Amino acid sequence: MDPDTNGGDGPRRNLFVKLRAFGRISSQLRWLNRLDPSNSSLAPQFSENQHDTPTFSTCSPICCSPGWCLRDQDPVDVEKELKLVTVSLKAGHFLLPSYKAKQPFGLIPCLEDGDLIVFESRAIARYLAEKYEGQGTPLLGKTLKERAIINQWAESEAQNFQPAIGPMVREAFVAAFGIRPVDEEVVAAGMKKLDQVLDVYEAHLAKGTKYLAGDDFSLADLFHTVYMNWMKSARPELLEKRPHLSAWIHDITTRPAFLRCLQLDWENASPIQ
Amino acid sequence: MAIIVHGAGFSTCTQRTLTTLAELNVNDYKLEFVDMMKGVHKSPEFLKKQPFGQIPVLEDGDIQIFESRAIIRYLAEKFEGQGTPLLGKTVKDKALVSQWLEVESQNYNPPTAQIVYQRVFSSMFGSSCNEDVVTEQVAKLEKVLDVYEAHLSNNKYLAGDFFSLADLSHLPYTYLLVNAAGKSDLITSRPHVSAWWNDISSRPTFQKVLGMNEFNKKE
Repeated sequence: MDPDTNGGDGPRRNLFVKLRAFGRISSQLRWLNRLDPSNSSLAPQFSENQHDTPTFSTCSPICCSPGWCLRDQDPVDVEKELKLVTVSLKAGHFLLPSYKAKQPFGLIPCLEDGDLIVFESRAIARYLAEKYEGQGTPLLGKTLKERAIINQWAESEAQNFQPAIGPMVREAFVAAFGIRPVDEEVVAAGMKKLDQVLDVYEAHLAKGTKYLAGDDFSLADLFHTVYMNWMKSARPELLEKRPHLSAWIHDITTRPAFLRCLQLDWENASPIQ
Repeated sequence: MAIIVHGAGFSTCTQRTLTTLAELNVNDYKLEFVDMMKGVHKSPEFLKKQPFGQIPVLEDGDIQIFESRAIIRYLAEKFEGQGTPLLGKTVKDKALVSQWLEVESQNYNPPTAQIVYQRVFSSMFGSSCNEDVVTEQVAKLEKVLDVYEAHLSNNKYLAGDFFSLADLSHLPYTYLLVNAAGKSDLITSRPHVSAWWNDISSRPTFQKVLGMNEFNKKE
C-alpha cells in the first residue's frame, strides 16, 4: 500500500469528484457543444441560496485530466484500478467534513492513492504522469529539456489560457442552468483576452511542431484539451483564420483516451459518505 | 555555459526565479535587466523569447524557458542533489509540493496579485487603485488563508516538514502584500500563517534577492 512504489498491483485509486461538477461538466460540455439546454434531464436544480461555486471557475474543466491522464497510460486498467466517488454539488457534499478532510478548499477533484491524497487537478495529473513514467504516453517527455518546455506550456495554460476562457465557461454554465443571465461584459473581456492568447498559440504551432512542446503529445496539450473542446463548439469563430490551432485542437480532442474519459460512468459511482 | 535570467530585480516572478537559484547554491548566472518602463518586454526581439511579452525568461545553453513556475521546476530538477531539496525526497513529497504549488498558482496568487497590483503597481502603470477590487479580493484571500492557517497548524511548511518550491513560490507577492500593500494584518492575525511567513521570509536566500530590487538600491 506504499504509494512510493510503482507497480501494477497498487491499491485501488479513488477519484473523488463532484457528480454535478465533474460528471456534469463532462456531460455538460458535450451538452453545451450540442447547444441544447432543453435536454436537461441531467441538470442539477440550483436553489436560490446556491453556495458559492468556486469549482466551476478554475479547476472543473480540467477535472477530466486526471481520469484522462490515467487512461492515456494504456497499461493502467482504469476500470479495475480506478474507483469513482461522486461529491454532489446540489447536496453540498463538498462541504462535508469527510470531504474537507481530504480537500480543505472544498474543491474537486481529489485523488486518493493508498494513504496519499492529492488535490488540484494539474498536480494530480502530474503525479500520475510521474508515477506511471515509462508506461503509455510519455506525458513528461524523455529529457530535462523536453520536460522544461512541457512545463512551460503547461504553465501557459494555467496563467494565460485558463484565466481568459474560465470566466466565459462559467457564464455559459450559470446561464444554462438559469441561475442568472450571461454577463456580457465578462464574455467580451474573455474573448478579447482569448484573441490575444490564441494568436500566440497559432504563431507558435505555425512554426511546425505538431504539439505545444514538440512533436509528441504531452501534459501541456492535455491540460488544454477540456476547455479547447468546449471552445471549438461554443466559439468556433476563434478557430477561423487559425489553421494550425484548429488542427491541433482537432487532434487533441479526438484522442481515444480523451473520448473514453468523457464516457466514464459517473451515474453509477457511489457518493461520498 | 552560464545561466541568464532576463527579468528585473523588483519583479515578483523574477524574484521567484532568483530565490530558487540561491536555494540551489547556483551563483553563476547573470540577471539581464528588461526595462519594462521602456516597453522592452513588448519589443519584437523580446517577443521572440517570450511571445506573451512577460518576464522572466531563463536561458541555459540551448534551453530557453518562460513562466517562472516552470523555470523554478526546471532548476530544482536540474540541480537536484545540491542546495535545498526543493522538491522533497520521495514520490509522496513531490506530489504534495506539486499540489501546494498549484494551490499557490490557482487559489492564493489570483487574489493576492490583484491586491498588490491595485495597491502597489497601478500608479506605476498610469492607473489608480481601485479599492472595490481590493475589498473583493481581500475577502477571497481571507478564505484561502483560513485553510492555510488550519493546515499550517499541523505542518511546519506547506508540503510537510521541509521547505519546498511551494513555500518559495509565495515569497515575492506575500512580501509586497505585507510590506507595501498595507495588508499585513491578513498574515499577522493568523498565528500559524504568521509563524510560517516569518520563517520563510527571513531565509537568507530571499533576503539576498530582495537586495537585488532596483528600487531599493542605494546610489
